[in-house]
Parts: sequence; C-alpha cells; structure tokens
Amino acid sequence: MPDTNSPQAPAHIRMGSSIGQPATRREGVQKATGAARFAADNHPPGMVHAVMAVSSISRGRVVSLDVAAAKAHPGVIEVITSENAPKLAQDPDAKDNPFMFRLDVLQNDRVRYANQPIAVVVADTLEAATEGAALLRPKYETEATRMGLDSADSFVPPAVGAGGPAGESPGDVEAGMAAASVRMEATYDTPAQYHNAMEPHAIVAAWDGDTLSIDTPSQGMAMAQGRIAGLFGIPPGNIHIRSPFLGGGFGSKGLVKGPQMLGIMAARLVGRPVKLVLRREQMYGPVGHRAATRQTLRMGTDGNGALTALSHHAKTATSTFDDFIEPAANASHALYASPAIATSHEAVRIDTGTPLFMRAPGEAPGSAALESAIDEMALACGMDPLAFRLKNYAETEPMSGKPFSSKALRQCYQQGAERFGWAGRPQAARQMRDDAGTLVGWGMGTAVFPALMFQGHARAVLRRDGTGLVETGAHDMGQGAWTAFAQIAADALGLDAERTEFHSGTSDLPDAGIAGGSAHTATVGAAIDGAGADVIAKLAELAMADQRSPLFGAGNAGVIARGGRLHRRDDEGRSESYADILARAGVAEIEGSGTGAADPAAQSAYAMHAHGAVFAEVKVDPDFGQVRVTRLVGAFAAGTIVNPRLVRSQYYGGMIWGVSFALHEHAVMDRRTGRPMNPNLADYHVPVNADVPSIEAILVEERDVHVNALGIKGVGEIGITGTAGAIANAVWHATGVRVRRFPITLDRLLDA
Amino acid sequence: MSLSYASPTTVNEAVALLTGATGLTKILSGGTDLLVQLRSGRVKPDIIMDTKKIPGILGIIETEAGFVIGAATPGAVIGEHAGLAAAYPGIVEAANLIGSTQVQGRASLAGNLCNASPAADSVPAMITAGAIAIVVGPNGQRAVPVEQIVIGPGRTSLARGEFILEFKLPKPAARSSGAYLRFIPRTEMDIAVVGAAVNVTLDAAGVITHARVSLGAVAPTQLLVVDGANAIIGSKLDDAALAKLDAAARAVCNPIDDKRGTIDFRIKVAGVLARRAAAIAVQRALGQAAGTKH
Repeated sequence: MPDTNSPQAPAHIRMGSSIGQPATRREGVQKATGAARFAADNHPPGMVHAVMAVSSISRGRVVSLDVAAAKAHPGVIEVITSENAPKLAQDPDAKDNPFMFRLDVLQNDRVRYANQPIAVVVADTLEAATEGAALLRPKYETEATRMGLDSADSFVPPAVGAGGPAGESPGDVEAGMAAASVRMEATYDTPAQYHNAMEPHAIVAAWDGDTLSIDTPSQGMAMAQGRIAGLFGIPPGNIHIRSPFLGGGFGSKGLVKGPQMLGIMAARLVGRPVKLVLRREQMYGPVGHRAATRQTLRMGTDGNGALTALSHHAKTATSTFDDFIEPAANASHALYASPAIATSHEAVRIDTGTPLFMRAPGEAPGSAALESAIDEMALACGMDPLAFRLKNYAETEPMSGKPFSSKALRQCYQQGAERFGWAGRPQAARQMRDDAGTLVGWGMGTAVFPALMFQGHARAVLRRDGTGLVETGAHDMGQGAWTAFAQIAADALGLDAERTEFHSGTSDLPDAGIAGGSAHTATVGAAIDGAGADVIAKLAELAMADQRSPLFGAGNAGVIARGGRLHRRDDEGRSESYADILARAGVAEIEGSGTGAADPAAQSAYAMHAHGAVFAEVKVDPDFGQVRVTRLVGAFAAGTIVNPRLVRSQYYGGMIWGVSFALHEHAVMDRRTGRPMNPNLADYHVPVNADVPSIEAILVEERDVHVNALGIKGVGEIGITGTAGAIANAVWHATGVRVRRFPITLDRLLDA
Repeated sequence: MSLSYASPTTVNEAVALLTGATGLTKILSGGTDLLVQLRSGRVKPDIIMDTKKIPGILGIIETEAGFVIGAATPGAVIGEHAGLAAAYPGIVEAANLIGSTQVQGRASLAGNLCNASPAADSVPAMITAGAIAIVVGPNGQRAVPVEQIVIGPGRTSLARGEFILEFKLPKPAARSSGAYLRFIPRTEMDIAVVGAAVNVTLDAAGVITHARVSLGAVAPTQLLVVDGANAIIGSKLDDAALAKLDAAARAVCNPIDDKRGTIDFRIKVAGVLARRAAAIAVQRALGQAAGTKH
C-alpha cells in the first residue's frame, strides 16, 4: 500500500507522544505465531465438548428427539433438551433494559426461527458430541413460515436501533417537493446479511460451586456478566470472563448469545468444564444478523441544484418475538442540507432470529440507498456528483440545526477527489473503456458515522521504579485495542511506551463498557487519560509540597508530565523524575482512576460525527455484467488518529465490507421453510483478496476539541458508509444501468 | 456404523481392497471434496481408501511420448511444473483455479474428475488436451479418454474395484497450445458458472489444423464440443469462425437454473468463453502473450 499524504504525527500531537505513532500490533507476533489464545483454544483439565442440535424449521415446536439414540452413542455424557434443561433464575424472554434481547436456551419446545438451538449433546470428544447431535432426528409440528418484507402486516416501531425515535421530520417535505423544479423518487432493496467473523461464537465454561469461569469472545464483558448473572442466579462478581482476543466481533459479540448460555448450562449440568463452538451454519440464526431493508428516497431540488426536500423511508424486518429495527433511514440525518427532511421506519415480523447489531447498523444500508439516490438526483440536475454534494453541503447538522463539533468533510472531498483523479470524469454513463474493451465507471459516496461514547473505566498506577501500569477490561476485536490503548496509557502517565505496562481483556479489570458504535477508543481512551491525569495530579501534589523538589511551589503554574519526569510548566528546565519524587516521599506507588463518558453539555451543544468521501472505480464486462472493483480511494476525518497504521487498517476493513455490501453479500432464504440456503462461506460470498486489488485510505487531519479531551472520534464503521453507494454509482457510470437492489449481481445488471 | 481407513502401498493391494470391500467405499486423493462431504454428512462411507502411498500416484514425469501425471498429484505441484505449463497451459491454469492456495496443496486431477461435478475446472482442459486416464482394477489396466469417465453428476464409468492411477498426455505437436477460462461472480475461490477449454494446433501459416473444445457446468457432464472444433478448424480464427464457434458452443448447452446462474445466462456465457479461450489458445500457439480478444 502506498503511503498517503497525511503526516504520521499531526501538528497538534506533541513531541515524544505515543499517540499518533504508527506502532505495530502489540499482540501481532502472538497472533502470527499462534501463541495468542482465542476462546476455543482453552482446554481446562477435564473439559468435555458440547454440540448444539439446531432446528431445521422456522416456526412450530419440537415434538420428539431420539435422546436414547444419542445417549447410546459411545462417549456421549448428556443430552440436554427442553425436557431436562435446568430452569433458569430468570425468564430468558424477560426484558428490563433495551439492550436485553430474548434468548432461546431450551426453556420450552417452541421453535421461532431456523437454526434455533433445540438440544445440546455433551460428550468426551467433539466427534462423539457431533454424532450424538446428528442421532437426535428431531420431529416437529410445523406452522406456516413468514418470510420476506411483504409476508405480514407492517407496524411503526416505537423505537429504532439502540432506542432512537422511528421518525423525525423537521420542515415540510411535501411543500418542499411541491416547490422543487427537479424531483426524484426511487426504492432500494438491501438483503439480509449474516455475521461471518472468522472466529465463530465459542465458549469454554467451568463452574466451581457458584463461581463461573469463562473463555468467550466478548465485545462487552461487564454486560455479559450482568446477563449471565441474571439467568443463572449468581452475583456478577462471581463470573470471571477472559476475552483477550476476538477473531472479529462486528457487533455479533456485543451481547452474550443463547448458544454461549447453553455452554454455561451444559457445564453446570455435567459438572465439568464444557466447550461449545458454533459451526459456521449455526451462525445463521441465534447470533443476530442485519435485516433486509426496502428504502424509498424522495428528493427535490430548486433550479440551482439545492435540495428543497429529502424524504427517507425504510421498511425492514424483525423477529416475531423481539424488537430490533435496523435504523436505515437515519442515515439521512446528518449529511445533506435541506430545509425539509423526513425520516421514517416501518417493520414486519418474520420467522427469523432477532436481527441485531451488525457493523454500522442503519448507516450501512441507509448510506447505500442515500448515496445512490444522491447520485440519481445529481444526474437529474445535470450536475457532477461531487459538485452536487458540495452544493448541498451541511454547515450545521440538518436534523438538529446544531453546529458540528468539527467537520473536515470538504477536505475529505478535496483530498480524495485529487488522489483518485475525479476531475477527469465524464458526466454521462458508458463513456469509458479500458484497452480490453471492458466498461469503466467512476462513482463516489459520502461517509458519515456518529462520534459516540459509552461509559468506561480505567485504573493507573505509577510505581516507585518510575514504571507505570494501566488496567482496563477493554476488548480487542482485531481493531487494535491492545496497541492503541497502550499508546494512550503511556501518554496519560507521561512515560515511554516501554515503561508502561498495560493489562486488558478480562472482566476483573475496570469495566471498559462495550466495544461497539465505533466508540471504544474514544470511551476507554478518555478513561485511561483520566486515570493517568489522576495519578499525575497526586504525584505533582507530592512534589510541589516538598521543599527539596525543584518543583516546590510550582503551584498555579503547574507541571507537565513527560518522559517519566515532571517539569514546571513555566520553566521546563526545572524538573524531577517520578522515581525521585516517590522515593523521597517514601511512597511505594500512586494509584489513580478515570472514567470516560460523553460530556452531556458538549453533546447538547454540538453534533458530533466522523466524515469521509469514498471514490470507486469499477470495470464491468460488457458480455457478462461481471463487476470488478479496481480502485477505491477513501478520505476520512475522524479527529485524533491514535495510531495511523491501525486506523488505516480499520478504514480498509470498512471499505472492503462496503465492497461486500455492494457486490457480494446476501443471505438467500427459502420462503417455504425459512431456512438460509447459503449458510457457509462457499455460498455466502464475501470479498476475497482478489476482489480488492487497490485500496487507499487518506487520513485527513481534523482536531476536535469538543468530542472528548483527546479529540477522538470512531473509525470502526465509517468505512462501510459511502463505499457501497460509491460502487453502485460507479456501476451505473460504467454501464448506464441503475441497479437499486443490493448486492449488484450480474443477473440484476443484465436483466435491467 | 464404523468407518475404516486404509492406505495400500501397491496397486494390487488397493484393487484387492476395493474388490473385497462391502458397503460404500470412497477413494481419497487430496480429500478436498471428500472430507467436506464427510463432515457435512452428505456421504457416509464404510471404507476410505487413501491412494497416496501407491508408487507413481504422486508426481509428474516428462517422457519422449509426453507427460504422465500421477492421479493424486496436487495442484501446487502441477502449477510449478515448467514443462507441463509450457506444453499444456490450459490444464495448469484450470487445475490452479481449483479452490484456494491451501486447497491447491492437496487437490488432485483424479479427485476433481471422479468427484464428477459438472463444474470441475480441470476436466474441460484435460478433455481438450486429449488426456487419457489409466484406470486400474481387477481386470488389469485400461486406458480411457477423460471425457468418458464422468457419466453424470456424481457418477463415473469406473467399475467396482477400479480407480485412476495416472493420466497420460501426448507430446504436443508444434504450434499447439490451449487455454481454460471460467466465469465466476467473485474474482477467485468460487465454483464455475461456466467453464470453457480450447486446444488448437496451427500450421506454419497460422491456420488451425486441429482443435478440441470442451465446456463445463452447462450440462450434466463436461461436453466435448465437436461442432465447435469444426467451426474453427481451417480458419485463422477470424470473426466468422469465432461466431460459428460461439453458436456451436451455445447449441450444445443443456444447463440448469440455479443460484449461480440461469439457463439463458449460462448459454450466453458458454459462447463468449469459448470464443475468448480459443483466441487465447491461438495466440499462445503463435507464441504470443495471451490477449483479451473476444
């Protein structure tokens, strides 16, 4: 990958800082050599294996299971069905907060979706448990399946996504449409997508009386402790979770899922440690997915191409027994200025597992539709797509009218367009071919993702030898938490990275909240920053009160911590090492703590988002309609870049996900049975390396003094937004065919 | 229900084992299809016979007469054989399209053939190269043209007790070459929607004197398209010959509709791929770099 034109350490990063350095992954060698232990790598003594049997129907009940046959198989220890499953302390269908979702954990014989667990077989070996599960030969009482967005009456949900309103409509859209000189209306379909992290959900659970030890990949250990504690009737503090590495999370490991609960249940029942790992096809049901959407976009512009109205309506699906509404229409909240905007949602209940968080929930399908529609509107106005976006650039957040805490989107457009060579783009479709006669097209999309924060805590210790320790129960999903937080920790204590120990990834450390919403670095980073500041303040107090210290009486002038020394702020030549301060004071160590959370005052005053612009080149075989993405350039502004190497990697990953969204991913559901027909990586396509030949991410400098003390916005999800639309628009530009149904497969391109 | 595994070290031992076996016997070469089928429960054999310890079944020998490719030779070995790549580039590129790099370390020509998938990539290329399968069994050896091995999806003409020991390829005539192309939605790691292989021999003036055309994934078995070959023999692959080839290829197709492609689309693709493969084969035979004419 070529380096981009962004400096490695932006001007506002101070000298000697770890933040801003392109450090390589701290756990990289461990992962490359296989030394990193993922959840399923843990085999405690006496461990046995559990395998789930899952439903092949999507609605009805289990009438019988051949438990005797399974039990008779050599090595099988126990078969758990709804008949003998231990009753839980809490109804798994109970909900006492919006982040509690209903779980299927063998408490009854009902089947609510295909691939729902209906039994668990525990055996000495994985093979015996697998065979035992196959011998159960379930019989069902089957009811008619409801599949697809038109299979049931729709309803307006009370809330969408993580609890936002289902509809908002500042301004008068109908008046804006009536006043427009150019109008567009189009409907876009996006498919159901299923989680396919490299590492499937896995758990190794061991009970000791009423204490529980778990290895499982988690994006939110404290929430998992709470959920498990409720179901099994034990205090959360009795549950120890180890989750040092995740083989990808993408939202599916944010909440502990039914199969993990079954592993815990099995361990309790057999009185031995139990390992349960989902097979790939078992991921297509009980662990959340992204629901299909059908989105209708309506826009009007005046004679100059300025929007007069923007309406975005999304129909989506949720399960028959729980509510998660993909907030797709909300993608239109923050991007384009219009005097009237209306967003709304409706949903149908179908016989699937409950859809849940999947990387950029709402924004991903919403952006794909919105950016396609913007392209169509630009064309209708006879304007270049970039010029049209600049014409409708939002100087304040369109939905709320609030000023942005920072917004370097113009720079993203400019730097991305320049790098891509956008200026040479002919406006009409089907104008460019390569030497082999292949159609070439260029498209673009705008990226946006809210800069969120949850709540997280950290603890910092400065030791007498001048070394530091920072601890927080953070989650590394592969995004680089181990590395980025260690960098922040070093800066927080004013130490070199090598002198700062960093512990993370277990539930006995301070609660780091949840790694989701692209908020983990901002949240936990702020907690670490606060914990370090707490320690330094205590250390400075010691030094400034000590007549023997060169810092004595620094008082209001204060001190700066750097390189293991405190310096007087007004005279940096006067300084003292941490070790000397602590030694003289006879203090063994100083401990501090910090909490990261959004500042409500700043939140009410400012709209906070990361922004970006993505440019795509595709080549389309004129005979086959075969689409290849040949170039992707993204330029993103997301506040402080803690580690440019890892951030680029996050953008690449997001943009590749965008390629997948635009061209590959879709679950094929059998409408008669409600079963996914492609629940494996051979049939459920995601891009392979050859599908992503050239990808660049430009880090556009942006300083945000409002989002949090370190100025960090999130980078984990924004790369998807903008990209899917950019590719769709490039396909139109290559072919003149507008496919409004994702993924853009060749049959849809040829049939159009 | 038990499953036994055997790895005989001679042909006779293997044949005896196969002949004497009761129940379902599956032959294991690379295992890249068989193991997946076992794990998914699609096949439940009683005996798995691994052929890889039989002498001669692994490796490539270049002789005066041509090439002998051991039946279980992995794709990675085929891909690295410079002599074979020069003589039969179509076979090498087809074999190397199967699966991923990891799969290439195991996947074999015999496995790809005897799995009897209509979409098997190496089979059309083997057919156009005129490859002969050396089949061993209770009645000794017999030489069978590759196009006669597969008789339907998942079914072969091999009799009870028989397996393929090796493939023989003739030494190619001067100014001969071949090509294999497949169509997949993704860029790699996918199953062919259509595959097309063409081998040609040219005279000194560049006129095609001999040709073989084969299509995959457009019928229950790979097809040897004689009319397609006749369409281009005697030509320099001008537009008229290409159009006739395209029509002949489309005419023999009898594909299915499935999630990978519709009947109409497969038929159309078959014609285009046949043209493109023929163009590449001719350019290779002329000693030119593979082009993109279609």
